[in-house]
Amino acid sequence: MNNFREELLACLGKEAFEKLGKIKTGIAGAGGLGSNCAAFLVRSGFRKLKIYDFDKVSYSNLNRQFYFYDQVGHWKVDALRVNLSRIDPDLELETFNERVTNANVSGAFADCDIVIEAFDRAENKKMLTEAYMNSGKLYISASGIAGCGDSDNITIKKIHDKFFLIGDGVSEASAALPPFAPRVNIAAAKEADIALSWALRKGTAQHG
Amino acid sequence: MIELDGTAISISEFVRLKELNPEKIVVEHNGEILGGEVWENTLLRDSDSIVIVSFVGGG
Repeated sequence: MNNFREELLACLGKEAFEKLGKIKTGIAGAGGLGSNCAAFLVRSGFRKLKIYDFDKVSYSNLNRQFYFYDQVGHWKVDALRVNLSRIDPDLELETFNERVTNANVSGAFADCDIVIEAFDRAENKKMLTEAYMNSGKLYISASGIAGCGDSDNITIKKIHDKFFLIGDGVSEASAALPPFAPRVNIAAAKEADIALSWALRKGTAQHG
Repeated sequence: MIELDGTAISISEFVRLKELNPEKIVVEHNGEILGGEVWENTLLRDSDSIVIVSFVGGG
């Protein structure tokens, strides 16, 4: 076991450490939400991630996404694999350098326990939500995270027992309202925190 | 029954009345996700439960 995991085990205890090692989390999109959420999950002790993204790192991403100057031009899934492995070198990562579409959405995360929506476009958020909000998996989505200020309005709405929606619901990213690191990270952190708290309680009567 | 001028309304009409963008919303009707193709022919009734999740871009 690597040294980071030794520390995680000491911090979490054996039962929680083992739970987190068994849960597979799917992340749809590796931009501002997905790349940061993945990092939060790995730091928390999650070890099985399945990540989809079709894009390359650009300079404009560096204001909020978990990538670095020397990774510009690299595929995001490849760069994210490198960065996450610098936190925990023994992760079980499955990365797919492809788009999630209507044709593959239902199979993309069929083997995951948790699905995290981290897309940019609203139409893709809709597509993933239709596929997973009633799938029996824990499903976490986000809407309304652009701009800066009023970050307490980035709330968590529990739509169902296993469907949570993060964001203010209205702050759409645009040229006039660009996304910035603080609010994007708050939303990504809330997505990760819901996954973490659910995973640690999983199996008890009250959370099922 | 949700009525408009005495007529029960469809999900499509409800979406138009609320000025929602059909491309950016998810509709769950009585626990079932409904694709846009059936909104026109699905009428809303009094005892129905409807959940509409609306998305804006950014991530």
